[in-house]
Amino acid sequence: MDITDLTLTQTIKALENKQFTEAELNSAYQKRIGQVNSSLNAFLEVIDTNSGIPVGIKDIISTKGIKTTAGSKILSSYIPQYNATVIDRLIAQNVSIIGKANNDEFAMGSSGENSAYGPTKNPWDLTRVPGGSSSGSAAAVAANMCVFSLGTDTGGSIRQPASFCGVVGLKPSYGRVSRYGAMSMASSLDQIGPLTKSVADARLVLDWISGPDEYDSNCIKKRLTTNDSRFTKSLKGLRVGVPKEYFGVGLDPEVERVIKAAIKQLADLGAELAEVSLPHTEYAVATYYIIMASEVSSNLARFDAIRFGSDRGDFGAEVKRRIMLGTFSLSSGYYDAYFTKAARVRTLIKQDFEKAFEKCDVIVGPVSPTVAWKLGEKVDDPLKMYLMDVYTVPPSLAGIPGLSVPCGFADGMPVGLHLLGKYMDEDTILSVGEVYEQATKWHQEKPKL
Amino acid sequence: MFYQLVQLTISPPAKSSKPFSLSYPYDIIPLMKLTLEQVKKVAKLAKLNLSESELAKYSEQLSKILSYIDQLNKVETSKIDPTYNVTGLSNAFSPDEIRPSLTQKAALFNAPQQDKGFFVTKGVFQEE
Repeated sequence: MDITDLTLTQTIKALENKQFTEAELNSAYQKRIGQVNSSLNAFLEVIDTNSGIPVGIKDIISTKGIKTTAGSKILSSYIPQYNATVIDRLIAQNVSIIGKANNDEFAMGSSGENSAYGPTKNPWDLTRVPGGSSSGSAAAVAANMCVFSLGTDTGGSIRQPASFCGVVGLKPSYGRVSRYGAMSMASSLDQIGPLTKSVADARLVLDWISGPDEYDSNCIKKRLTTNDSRFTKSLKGLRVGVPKEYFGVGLDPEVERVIKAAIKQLADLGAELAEVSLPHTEYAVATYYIIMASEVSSNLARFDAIRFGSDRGDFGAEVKRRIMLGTFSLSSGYYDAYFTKAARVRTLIKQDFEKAFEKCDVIVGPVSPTVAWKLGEKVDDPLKMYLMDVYTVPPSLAGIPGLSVPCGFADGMPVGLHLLGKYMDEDTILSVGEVYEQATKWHQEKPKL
Repeated sequence: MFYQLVQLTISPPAKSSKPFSLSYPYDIIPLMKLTLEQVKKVAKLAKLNLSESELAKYSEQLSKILSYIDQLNKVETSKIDPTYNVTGLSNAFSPDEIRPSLTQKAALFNAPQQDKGFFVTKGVFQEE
């Protein structure tokens, strides 16, 4: 048995049954990291652990005493003096941080190529991107460099790399998990969530990290309901909404084939399919890039090279581009035409989901219109890269939860099925994901490194 | 509407009349281009010292992105309220009490420059 193949729930069980010790567990992962990290560039910093459950943490999440760069040159020597709330909660569950995971600078990017410390490679094909911005978090889980990892998702940054690397990724509802200690990108959208080897693991980690926090006023008081699943083996009684707008021109035919097969499998498992409509989908990317960039320009104003960090000239090209776009849309004379306009369209996008959920319990579709693309392919054309976020940004704008579950391969690369739930209803998408995963076993496929 | 949007599809046309296209809009024609002067002003507001080549690059790229974003003008929103926060929470208060916080040493730990327990800031009365 290779210890590093085990899921979180399997690892906990094996430790309880004394099949191996925590020291053996950590040394197995340390060895694995030693073998593959130089070719993947998934971890920026590796910590010498010998106890606890070893996990990877996206380098935008503050870890006390451990360098946290956010993938930026501006924080090349920044050492947080406090832990993010999620880190304290994981430590309370006997988790140890084995690596700080590479990411697009300040979580801005869809490919992992915007890190100041070099791109992360996709473990399934080293010439391809792992997705982003939680690039290292996804690659590290796929390559068995940690038991699970944490990422952040503002417009798809957990779900899209999870899809590209063939792992499970969950973006919780906005307000489910405290953002305290995660460096702010776009405050009305940011969420922390897990990237794991199984859906059951994602449920467990969400249970660990969620819940009210006095350091994040937007974090809701209501606790997550888990182990309350209506579905165990069959999906009888589940209504699955399939948005007609998600299968338009631009969706790769091979990805479409895999997604449609997965939807058929849900029907075979007893679910009832219903066509739904999300008519404002085509405006989501434009809306997102105004709201997100505006909030970015405001949040990144804190980098003044006085309290921490170096000169603003050390920001990378994409970060500067988004600060510029956001500053423009918030500037006098353009505020109403851009920022307020986008906030109004956001309401319509949110209402689309509310209407669709009158007819169904979950919505399914692709996470990304294509599989992972080649490194370098889209770096010169920012708009082209932005348009790849078309399926992940609408649920982010609506604040609803989204889960990416491995559902097959197109051109030899993993494809993720996007399961979207009602606001604060992670339980249903996790239950559906678990039933689907048990029926298909796609999550057990591993890259050959 | 400031521009004309002509969409060319990369993949072959859809069999049925699909509701919208995800394809890349190669032919966005920005009719109102961001001038170099506007870009310089935005960079100043954002406190970014951009090189001449960066200014030229962002002027072109931001014009293109803003032209794409202008499609939002097709959406009728006069009777729609804006959404700034999906939780619906407002005025979340916490008790006004003294709680443990960072020590002075910890707060200064990452400061590029410090003096006698203070952050060293840039002068406020001289022009940069």
